[in-house]
Amino acid sequence: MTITKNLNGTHLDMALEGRLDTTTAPQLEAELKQSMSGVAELALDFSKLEYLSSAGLRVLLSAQKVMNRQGSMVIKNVNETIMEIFEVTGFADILTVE
Amino acid sequence: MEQDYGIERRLAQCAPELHSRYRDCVVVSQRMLSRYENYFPDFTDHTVLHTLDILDISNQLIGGQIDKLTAEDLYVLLMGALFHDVGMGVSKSDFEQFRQTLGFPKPADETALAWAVRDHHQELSGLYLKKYWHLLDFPNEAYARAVIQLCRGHRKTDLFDEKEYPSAFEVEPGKSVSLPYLAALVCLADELDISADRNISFLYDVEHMPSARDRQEFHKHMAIRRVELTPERVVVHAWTEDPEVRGGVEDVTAKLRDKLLMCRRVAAERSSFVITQEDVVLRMEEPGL
Repeated sequence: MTITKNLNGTHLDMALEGRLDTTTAPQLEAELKQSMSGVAELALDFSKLEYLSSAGLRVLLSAQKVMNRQGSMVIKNVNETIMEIFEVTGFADILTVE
Repeated sequence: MEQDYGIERRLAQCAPELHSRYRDCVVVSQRMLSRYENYFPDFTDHTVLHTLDILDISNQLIGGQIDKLTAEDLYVLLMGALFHDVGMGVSKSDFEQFRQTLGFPKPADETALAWAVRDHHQELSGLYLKKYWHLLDFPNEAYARAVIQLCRGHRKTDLFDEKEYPSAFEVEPGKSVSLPYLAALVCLADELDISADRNISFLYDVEHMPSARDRQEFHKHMAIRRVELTPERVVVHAWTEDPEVRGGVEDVTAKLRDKLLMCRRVAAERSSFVITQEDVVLRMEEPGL
C-alpha cells in the first residue's frame, strides 16, 4: 500500500493506494501515529484504495476516536466496493464519508 | 466467580499473529452486534457483553484442559464466540438474500421479522460469514468454514453429524481443529448465559414491552439470579413468587439439562475432551437466604 501525505497547517490529507488489510494496516497505523499530533482536520482520500478488511477498519476506528477529541475526520472518494464494506460491517454509521 | 478470558490470553501468548487477526475482528463484531439493538430493542442482550460471557463460561467448561487446545482451536473458538450472533445484525438486504437461501417465508410485519431473525440467527450468522469471510482477515477459507460451523452449531444443529462436524477438521496442512468439541462449547456456553446479570432490569422497560413473549422471556431471565458452574454440575439459583414464571424457569432448567447432556456426549464421543458437569440443578432460593 502506498500512503501519500500532505500537511497544510492543521489540515492533513492522506491518500491511500492499494489494499488496507492485515498486512498493510500496521503501516497506516504507524503513519497516523506519527502524523496526527496537532492535526485538527484529517481527510483520508480512498479514491485509489482497492480493498479494506477488519484490520484496516480497526485502524480507521482508532483514528476516528483520536480525531473526535482533537477535531474532525472525513473519508473522501469512497468507491462502491469500500462503501459496501462500510455498510455490511456497520461502520457506515460511525464514519463520516463524503 | 471473577470473570476470566483465559482463552484469549493464551492465544496472545502462543500465537500472536492469529491473536492479532482475532483482535482486528472485535471492532467489526461490536458494530454488528450493536446494530441488532436498533432493530430489536426488546431482545435479550446479544451485544459484545454476551460474547464476553461466552468466553468466560467456555473457559470454565474447558478448565484444566486448556493445555490440550492448539492455537488453531483457540482462534476458531474465539472467532466463533465473537460472531455466533452476528446474524442478528445483518442489513435488511442481506437478510432478504439469506432468507431466500434458507427458504423461509417473508415476514409479514416487523414483529414477525424480529422473530424470524431470532429463530434463524445461527444460520444468518453462518451465511454472513460465508459471504464476507474475506473481510475478516481469516488466514484462509478453511478457518472461516470452521467458524461458520461453530456459529451454525450454537443452536438447532446436529453436532453428531460427522460430515458437518468432522472430529478433526483440517484448517492448514497438518493442522486441524476439534470442531465438535468447540461447537459444543459455544452451544452450551450460550445456553448457560441466562442469568439476570445478562439483562440488567433497569436497562429494560420490561412491563411496557409490546410483545407478551418478550415480557415472559425477560421475567424468566430476571428470576434466574445466578448460574454457577462447579466441576460436577451446573447450579441454577433462582427465585420468583409467580407460578407462571417459576414454571418457565423449570422449563429453562430442563432445556439446559438436555443441552448439557447432549454437549457432554458430543465431547465424549466426538473428541478427546470432556465436559465434566453431569447435571443441572435448580435451587429456588428467596433473596437474602
